[in-house]
Amino acid sequence: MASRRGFLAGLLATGLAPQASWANAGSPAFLSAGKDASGAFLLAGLTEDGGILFSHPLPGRGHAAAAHPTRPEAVALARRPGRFADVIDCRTGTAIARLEPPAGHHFYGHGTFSPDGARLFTTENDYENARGIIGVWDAADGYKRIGAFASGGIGPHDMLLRRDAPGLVIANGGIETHPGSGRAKLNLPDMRPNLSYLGFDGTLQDQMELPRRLHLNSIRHLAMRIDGTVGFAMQWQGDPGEQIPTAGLHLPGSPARLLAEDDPRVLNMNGYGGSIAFSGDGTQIGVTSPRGGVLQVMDTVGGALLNEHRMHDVCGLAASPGGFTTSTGTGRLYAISDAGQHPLHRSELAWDNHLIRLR
Amino acid sequence: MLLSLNALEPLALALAAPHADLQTEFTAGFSKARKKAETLDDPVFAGAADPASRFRIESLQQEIKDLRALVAGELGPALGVEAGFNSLDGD
Repeated sequence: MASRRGFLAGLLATGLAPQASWANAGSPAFLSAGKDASGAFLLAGLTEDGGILFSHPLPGRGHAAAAHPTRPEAVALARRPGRFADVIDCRTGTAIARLEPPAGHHFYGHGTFSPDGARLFTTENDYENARGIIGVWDAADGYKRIGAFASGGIGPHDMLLRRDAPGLVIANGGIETHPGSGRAKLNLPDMRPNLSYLGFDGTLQDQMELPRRLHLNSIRHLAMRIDGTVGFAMQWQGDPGEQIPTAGLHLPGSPARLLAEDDPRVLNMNGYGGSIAFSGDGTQIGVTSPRGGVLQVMDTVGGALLNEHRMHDVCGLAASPGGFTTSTGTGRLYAISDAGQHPLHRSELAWDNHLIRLR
Repeated sequence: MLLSLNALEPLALALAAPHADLQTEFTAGFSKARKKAETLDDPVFAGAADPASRFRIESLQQEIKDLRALVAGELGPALGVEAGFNSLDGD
């Protein structure tokens, strides 16, 4: 029988935690943008084995997404040079807000919330001034734009929360583009990609540049390990015949380590790292290449290439308990372990570049 | 280079046959590339080390890249053999 004290404690608890949580949205394991059979773009919430829990239409092609740390809200970000970021209530699939960057900016397709969920940060191109920008939005007050700061380079793309210190890590790809010339690359001869570590107020805390011979290797995508080690994936803008690494590891304060540099199989990536993730236990790091149709898995200690997994148009990649989960442009999800690849659910749509893990 | 262009043009036109606009684009693209290759008159690209002729070689290279983009981006989908959603993305 319920005691008076227990009953009161229960009342108090419900009163203190009236907020909806991700459990109310069916606890999706992943978010991913996609394109359905009719050519319409969407953001979907997926179960661990690739079933679709909810889907929300987008006004154009999405890219990555950001999930609020506690509220069941997802932000679907437009693929560059898009100008929308839709905040979606994942319980009902309804729109909460549509964010638009200031005039003269476009989104790059990635963003992240602050650990307390009070702020949303978005990577943006201030294209008239060729400056990388981080936009700051007030997630506690209707997603109002409340500020911006320099990203530490040109072409900020992926961005994650640091785990070793409060702040952000940003992949500045180094490539200047202007919507007036489509997706054309305007500064290849003198591009200088970097990883920038910024405080939440935009203070530059640390920066990593690649050796000069790799200045054409655009750093685009990031993975974060619990100890603060950053995995980064690169896209080579030079001669496609050169044997160039597509992945590396970096911890602020130490030099970067390039992975599988001497293994000729890096050529199978076609110079293009699409997504990067640590394995569930953090001992391995995977990089996908849709152009090579391959996932390469490397050892994070020795840096050696351990396994290659062939999948048509593979790009999305996330950690999973047994290793990794991948998604493809043919609507498939796969569970990846050292033993091989195991097909999961297939949907009648094309999964876009990134598979964002929520839990 | 000229030999390859001349051999590939009829194939591209035949594959694009049901799509008149695409055929027009191919004809224009091939003719631009051919004109540049003829003006260059350097079948083994021996002038690649000389800045002036290198510029012309790169300009021809751009025409060929444009033709490839036309094949991958327009002809492929028209034939129902679209390359991947992600592999063509470049982001």
